[in-house]
Amino acid sequence: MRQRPSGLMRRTVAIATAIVGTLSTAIAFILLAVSIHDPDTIGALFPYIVFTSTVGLLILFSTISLNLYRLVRKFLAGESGAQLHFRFVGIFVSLALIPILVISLFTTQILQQQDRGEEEIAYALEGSRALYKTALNEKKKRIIDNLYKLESTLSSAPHNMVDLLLEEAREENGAVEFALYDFSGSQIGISSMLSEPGLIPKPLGTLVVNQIQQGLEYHKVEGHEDLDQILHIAIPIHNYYSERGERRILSTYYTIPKQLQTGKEKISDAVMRNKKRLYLESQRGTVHNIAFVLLLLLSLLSALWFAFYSTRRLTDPIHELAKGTRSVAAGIYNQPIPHISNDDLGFLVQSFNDMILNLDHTHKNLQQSQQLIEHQNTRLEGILSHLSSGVIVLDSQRRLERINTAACTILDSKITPTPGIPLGVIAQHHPHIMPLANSLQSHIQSSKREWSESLTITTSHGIRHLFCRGSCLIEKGQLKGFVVVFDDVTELISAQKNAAWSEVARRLAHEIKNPLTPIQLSADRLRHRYLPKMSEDEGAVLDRATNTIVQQVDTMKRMVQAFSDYARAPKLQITTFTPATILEEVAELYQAQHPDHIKLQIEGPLPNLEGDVDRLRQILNNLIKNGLESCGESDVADVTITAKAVENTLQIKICDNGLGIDSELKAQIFEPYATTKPKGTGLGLAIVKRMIDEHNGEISLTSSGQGSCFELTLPNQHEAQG
Amino acid sequence: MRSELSLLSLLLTITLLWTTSPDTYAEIVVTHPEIRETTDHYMVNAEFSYTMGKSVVDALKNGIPLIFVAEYIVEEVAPFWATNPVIQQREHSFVLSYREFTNRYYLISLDNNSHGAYGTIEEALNKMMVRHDAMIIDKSLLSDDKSYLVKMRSSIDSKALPGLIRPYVYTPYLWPEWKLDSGWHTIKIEQ
Repeated sequence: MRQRPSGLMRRTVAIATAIVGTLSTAIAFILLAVSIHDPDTIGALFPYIVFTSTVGLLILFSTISLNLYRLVRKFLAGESGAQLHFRFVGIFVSLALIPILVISLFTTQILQQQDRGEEEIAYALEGSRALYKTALNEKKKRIIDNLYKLESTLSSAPHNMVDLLLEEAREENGAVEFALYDFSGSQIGISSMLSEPGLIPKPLGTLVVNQIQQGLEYHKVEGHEDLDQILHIAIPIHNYYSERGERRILSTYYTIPKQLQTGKEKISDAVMRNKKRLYLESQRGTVHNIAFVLLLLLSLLSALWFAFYSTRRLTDPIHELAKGTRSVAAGIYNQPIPHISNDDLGFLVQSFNDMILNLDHTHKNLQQSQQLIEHQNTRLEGILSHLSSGVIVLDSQRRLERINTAACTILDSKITPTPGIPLGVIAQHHPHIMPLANSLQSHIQSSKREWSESLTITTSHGIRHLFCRGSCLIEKGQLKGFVVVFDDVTELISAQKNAAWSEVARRLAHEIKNPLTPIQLSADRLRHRYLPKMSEDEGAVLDRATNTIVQQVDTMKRMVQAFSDYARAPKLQITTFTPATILEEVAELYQAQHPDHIKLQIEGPLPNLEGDVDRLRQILNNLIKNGLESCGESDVADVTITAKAVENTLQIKICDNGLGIDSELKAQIFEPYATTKPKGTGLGLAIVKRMIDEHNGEISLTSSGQGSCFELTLPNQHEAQG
Repeated sequence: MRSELSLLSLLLTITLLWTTSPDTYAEIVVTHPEIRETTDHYMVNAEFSYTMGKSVVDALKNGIPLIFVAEYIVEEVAPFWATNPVIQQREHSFVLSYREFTNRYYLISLDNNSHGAYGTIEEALNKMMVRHDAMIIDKSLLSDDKSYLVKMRSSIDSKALPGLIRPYVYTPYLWPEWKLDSGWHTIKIEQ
């Protein structure tokens, strides 16, 4: 897979950052270890330690922050695996932090246990100072005693002699400066090795003057830039025995005695050495603390980063597994999870991939099977829909599973299979199929595997004769349902009946027609020969008898002719004609006889019709005649003829207002010898029906108490029957 | 990406604020540098202002002597791609120490071994402050057709410090109170 440039760059930057961070952290660890082992090297190594640690810490901190930010964002977005990732990070961080913090606590305690020698040094310093002061005080006492010995000389010495006397006294006492002041602090004279005497004599300090004026001596160790420390002693001098004497102040400076100075320096050196040692110890602690903090931070952040890294390594396959599971749940089986590792999780991922591969394979097989089933179903539906036989399939609970188009046509019901609805319930909404449903019920209850039965049902097209064959559907010894195949054999039975009647008619015509003419001729001969010879009474009997014979023979002849016509099926003479003309001719014929009883209505133009004109005329004659006679022998019914073109057919309705036809007879009105008339042969409508059939047309009867209505439908174009 | 940059900016700001804390501030500044010309010489004068931080004074009071070095270099100005050749250079070094017994600060010049004891650190630092005629440049060393610079600076001698103290001086960005280096101050010699 080719990566996008930005993705490649990001990856490169991430790898480079990881390398730099790891190297910096590792180098920082090494340098810290070296510097802790040898503290003298820390000075030189410290900048590098700081740099590498800072780089390492920054990279670690940034990486951890980025990881944490991403994790929190995932957690808030509710992404799969985020909670687990969060929990694992918490666990790993706790596992890493607890030992680090415990070790840190103890290490800090150990580092804080430094040498507490500072108090001892202060104590020694205090003791040394006290000792030094004691020795210095002894020296001061001696100096002061010696100074008071000069009191009488200096208190009364004239001003011009003061400098000389002071010079002698200073040299005699080993001082570095002798100065004489009056009691207000103004200088009288000075002999000094500390500084050259100035033009303007310096007055004595106010503090010294005040103390002297209160009758106290002044002595203090003062600092000196060159001599480090000098002893300043001032005393009041006054010669009480001389009247010339005045109150003056003698201020002197002495160097610290060499022995004391040496001792002081030794003590001072020792103190400072110890202070330096303690200070460096504390700095060592500070440096160690810094090193420890850096180590702690590096360890802590490394542990945190490792926690994130380990958790991501651990949860990534789980996240991928969750994604894969969602894909599988969504029906996507062709997205295997990338193989990450060879550990247990890798094995799990591999197993999952194998599983979805199998699922994909199974799913494809299932889809193929479904497609095959759908194809077979479609094919079966096609076959069933093209079957002329009705097919009904029930499940084992007698619920309708399948019904084909032919079954609906035969049963004259638009039945759709409804899941869970038994056939009996469907039959309640479709009364036409009730006989069939009852028959099925009884056969199913009889536990026969196969059965056949002829049924009669009444539809809107009249009584239909069905021949049903049923069988149980058994799979692996279990009853899975029932299948019923039935055919509408009404036409077949009718054709069989017609054929039978035709045969009967032909034989009757043949057998009866031949003797009728001799009988009639014989009767005529008898009357002509014997009537004149007979008496009037006997002649009248003979005349009636022969007349009866002749009339009955005529009747029989007509009947035989009718039979003959029925049995005979002359070939159709197909021509194209205008049906309106034929209708008008036939109507005019009857209008001449019954002008008020025939009414012809032609709705719209009628297209030309292909057919046998004579047969059509015969059909119309038969039906109009039947209509006129439908009120019985004594009365003439009104007949209305309506014709109109409907699509590619001609529809003719011939309705009368006669007595109508009984419902019982209505079903078989088109069968031979079905008639309502006392003298009818019952062949008229049968002949009409046969002629209509020859023209591929249809005829139906609707009858009520107020008359009957025959509806003819003839196709405009004739198609020869096969 | 923007949030990541914000995070880095925040870290940088915290670091800068930490390193520039005003409580722990020390510095050495070159003040009033000048070159005085005589008939045969150029005399370099300089003043250095020393401000010691608490940590430095603490180290001093705990027996750590501090050596301050004032350096002076005369360089010939070379083209920008070349290093300036050094014509003359000089160093003045002072050792500043403290003794608790006497509570006094001691300053020793390593050039002439002169020394002084001072009651306060300011007195001692003031003693180091002024350098009159710190460097005398003989005019015969200089060419009229060339330019010359005098560079001067004062700093603490980190190498003379104990190893455990050196980290502070080596990483002054972390310890501003140990930033004891004035940096080079340059003056052009006007011939």
